[in-house]
Amino acid sequence: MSVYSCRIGTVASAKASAMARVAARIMPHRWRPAALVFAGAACVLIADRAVLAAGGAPLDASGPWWLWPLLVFLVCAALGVLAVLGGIGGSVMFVPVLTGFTSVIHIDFLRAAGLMVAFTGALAAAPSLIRQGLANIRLGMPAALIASVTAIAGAMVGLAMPSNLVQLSLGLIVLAMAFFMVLVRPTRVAPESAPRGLTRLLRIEGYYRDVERNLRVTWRPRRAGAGLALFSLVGVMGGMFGVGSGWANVPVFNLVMGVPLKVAVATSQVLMLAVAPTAALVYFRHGAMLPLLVIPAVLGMTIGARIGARLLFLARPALIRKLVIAILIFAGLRALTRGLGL
Amino acid sequence: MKAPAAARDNRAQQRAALQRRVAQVERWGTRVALTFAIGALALYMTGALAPYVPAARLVTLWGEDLSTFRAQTGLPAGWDSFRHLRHSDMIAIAGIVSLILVTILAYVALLPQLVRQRDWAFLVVVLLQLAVFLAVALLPLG
Repeated sequence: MSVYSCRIGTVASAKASAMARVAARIMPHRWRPAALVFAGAACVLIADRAVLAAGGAPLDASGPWWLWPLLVFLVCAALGVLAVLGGIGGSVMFVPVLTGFTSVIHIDFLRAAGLMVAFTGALAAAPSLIRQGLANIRLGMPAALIASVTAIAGAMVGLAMPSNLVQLSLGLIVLAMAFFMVLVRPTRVAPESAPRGLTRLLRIEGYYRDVERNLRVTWRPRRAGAGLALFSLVGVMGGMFGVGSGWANVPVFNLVMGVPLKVAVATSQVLMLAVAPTAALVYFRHGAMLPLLVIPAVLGMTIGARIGARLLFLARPALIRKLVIAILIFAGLRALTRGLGL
Repeated sequence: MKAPAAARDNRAQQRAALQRRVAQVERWGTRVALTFAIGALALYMTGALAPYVPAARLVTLWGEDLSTFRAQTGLPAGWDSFRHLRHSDMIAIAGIVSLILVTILAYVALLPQLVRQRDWAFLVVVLLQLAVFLAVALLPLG
């Protein structure tokens, strides 16, 4: 490395630390991620408007028909890779990205496919997580029961709502997801307390082996009532928008119920195993399940997730997570502007 | 002190047995259902079996909302699709439904073990979930 580059590096880092000091004075540290998201969102919105003003058009249905399932497969494979590397469920991005980038496929069909993508992702991941004891069915199934009942209501309301209102709400929800991903940090595991109420009745407790620390971690949830109440909201959103609910399940398990993060992430799959198919059945019975869309999407996401898992050791998770957040913000804003008819 | 420890070990073993049962049903069920769905899609896309709605027509109409789409294609909804299983796209829909069945089977597989373990509270949770699946699958949805 030359003296020049060293000096440039030193100057750059000095400038950066000076800017950081100024930023810390202007804004408290905990608000900075939110401000960054706001700034990013504004930039994306301006760029999006500029593209449209310059004559940019959404993709249309011209071209050979087989191109569409192939495109869906490839997009889903890419989303699957990103989802694993970014540490989120691929289905979270499926509906927002496909509605954001193309207006060819109606959101009714995309939501049905999104639920199947969420479900198949959970089917692929859950067996080994359940067998290892990381995903706990005693914790997941009662929550899934509540969420699946409300998911039916969500799906029925979603299908009855006008498309622009669905787009608008989806945009707001996706932006909320992005905020969640920026702001929420895992909580420490709650100290074990005596089992009460539902926890005692259903014997919800467990342990897992923390391989990194070579420890047996035992846990028992708290505030089961509050957690279950929140899962009813999660179910409504999952059914209404066809998005996987991992982004909401994990904070409820971890932040509200004090379940260890690893168990929360894994048990979120158990929830998806019941909630997604229940809502998907509503879409199926209304005739919204299109195999030409659903099967390539499911296949793409499954293969992408496997590729992502192999690339995991090469990737920089923090960077990928930022990329995922940027994609969500972009997709959320597109849905919002479409919903508003802009 | 020995009695509570033995009871705890017994509970842990029962929990592990339940977890193993669910995992086993899901692993095998997914393999079978996914293979079926992919095979059916291959039939549809290659045209080896006549579809109800040709793929070339479907992609020109899937931008319409659900009611317009169904009016224009005449595509049967829900369980009515199973009356047309001579068409490749309807077989593919059955493939999708078979994936959903995997989770229902996993819940059903838990029932005998829960009865054997006399875990009545959790048995009620599982039965209620099965009732929800049944209701959404069979009751009129409006």
